[in-house]
Amino acid sequence: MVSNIVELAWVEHLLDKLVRQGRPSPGLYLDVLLYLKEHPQVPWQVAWLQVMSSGATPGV
Amino acid sequence: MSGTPRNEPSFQAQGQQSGGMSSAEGSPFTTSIGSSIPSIFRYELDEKPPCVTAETNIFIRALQIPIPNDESLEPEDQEPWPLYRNIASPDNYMECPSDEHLPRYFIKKYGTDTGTMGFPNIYGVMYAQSWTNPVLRHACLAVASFWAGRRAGHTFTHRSEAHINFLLPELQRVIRSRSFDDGHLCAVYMLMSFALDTNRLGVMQKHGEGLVLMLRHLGYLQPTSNGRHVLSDRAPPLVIHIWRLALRDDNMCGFGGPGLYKLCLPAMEMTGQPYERCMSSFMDQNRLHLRDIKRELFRKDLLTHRILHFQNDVLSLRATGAYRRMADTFEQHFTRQGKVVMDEITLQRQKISLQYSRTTSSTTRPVKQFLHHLPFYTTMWDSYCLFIYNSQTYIHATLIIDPKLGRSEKYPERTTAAIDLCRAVAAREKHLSPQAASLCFAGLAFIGTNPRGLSFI
Repeated sequence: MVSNIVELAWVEHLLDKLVRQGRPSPGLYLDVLLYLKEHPQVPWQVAWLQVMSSGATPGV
Repeated sequence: MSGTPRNEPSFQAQGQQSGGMSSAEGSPFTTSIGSSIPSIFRYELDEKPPCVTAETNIFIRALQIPIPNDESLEPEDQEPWPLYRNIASPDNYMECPSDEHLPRYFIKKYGTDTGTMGFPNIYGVMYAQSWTNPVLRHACLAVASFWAGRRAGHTFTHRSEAHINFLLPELQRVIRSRSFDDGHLCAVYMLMSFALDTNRLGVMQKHGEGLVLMLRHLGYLQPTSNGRHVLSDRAPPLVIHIWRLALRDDNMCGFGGPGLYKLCLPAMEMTGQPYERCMSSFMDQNRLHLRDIKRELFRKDLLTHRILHFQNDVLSLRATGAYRRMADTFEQHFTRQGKVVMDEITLQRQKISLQYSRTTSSTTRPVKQFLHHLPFYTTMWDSYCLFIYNSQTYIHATLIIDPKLGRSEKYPERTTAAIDLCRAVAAREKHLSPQAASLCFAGLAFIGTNPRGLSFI
C-alpha cells in the first residue's frame, strides 16, 4: 500500500468518525475530500465552494 | 473548556478592579441610550434590577389593580386577576415566560457552547450591558434560545425568530439615524453569528459588512498607511472581543474563495495589542496559563485572514487576461508574496516549538500515534491546537501558490506539515471537533499521485 494513500485513508476515517458522532460540519469536509478524489482535475477551492454551498441555504 | 471559577468576582468588583472606563473610551453615541461600560456595574446580576417589581414600576403595579364588576372577562379571569395583565413592561423586557431560563444560559453556557473559552464572565458583562439596550438584549436572547434549544436537540426555535423580529426595526432605526452604540455593535455580531449557525451565509455576510461599517463609523477600525487596518486603542474590550469573533467567522467561511463568501473584514495588521487589553479584562484568573496560547491562536487567525485576502487576490488575478499573457511573471510575483507569509508561519512554528514541544511524554498516559510516524508530545495539553493550526495554515498557503493537490515539488514541506498535523491530531483524538477543517487540509496534502509513480493501492 502506498504511504500517502494510507495517510489519506486515516484522515477520512477520522472525519467519518466525527460525522458518526453526530457533528454536522465534518461531513462537509469529508465530502470535499471525496469530491476531489472523484474529480482530481477540479481546483480545490472550486470543490470547497461547491460542497460548502450545498450545505448552505442558497440565496438566503 | 472554560469553567466558571468558584470565587468568581462580581461584575461590580470587576468594575472596581479594572478601574471602570471613561466615557471617552466608549462610542460617542452613548448619551441617550446608556450602554457605555460603566452602566453595567450599577447592580449585581444576581440582584433584582430596578423597575421590575411592583414597588418600583408603575406598569407592573397597574397589573395588580383589579377592575371590579368587569363583565367582559371570563369568570375565572375576574377578580383577583388584573385587567391589564398582558401589558408588557416598557421595553418588552421579557415577553414570554418560557424565556426565563435564557439569560442564565447566555451568561453561563453560551460562551462554552460557541467556543469562547477562557473568558467566563464576558457574556455576563454583555448581558448586563443589554439592560439598557433592548436591541442587544433581544439579540442575546435570540442566540441563547437557539443554542439552548440545540442542547435540547432542536435545530431552530421560533423564540429566536420572535426576538429578532422584535429587535430589527429599532436596530434599523438607530443605524439609519447613526445613533448606534457599542451595544448595537454587539447585537449585530450576534445576528452575524446566528446566521452562520443557521447556515445562512448570505445573511451572515450582510451582517458582517454592516458590522465593519459600524466599527469604522465609531472610529474603532482605522486604516494604516500600507492599506491594512488596525483596531483603535480606544476600542472597548467587549468590542475587541466581537471583532475577534468576527475575524474567526470570516476565516471559517473564507476558505472556498469569494464565490462562496466574500471576506467582510479588511486585511488587518499583525498586531496583538488590542487583544491584550481584551484578555486583561476578561481572562479567567484561574486559567492565566492559557493566555499565551490564546495570544498565539489570535495571531494564527490574523495570519489566516491575511492569507485568505492573499488567496482572493491571487484567484482574481489568475482570472484576468493579463495573467494569461504573462503567467510566469505573475506566478513569480505570487511566489515572492507567498514567501513573506510562509516565513511568518515558519516563525510562529519555531516559537511554539520552543515553548511547547517535547520529544517524550511527561506522563504515563499513552499518546496515540499517527500510523508509523513518531508520536507527538507537547508540554501543555491545550497547546496541541497551535501545532495543528500552524500546519493547516502552512498547507493552505502552499496550496494558494501551487494549487495542485498532494505532494508539491515546489513546497515539499507541505507533506511534512500534513504528517505533523495528523501526529498532533492523533495525540488529542478525543477532542477533535474544532479540527475537522484542519484534517481536510491534511487530506488535500495527501491526495494525488505519489512521486514514485505508484498512485493507488
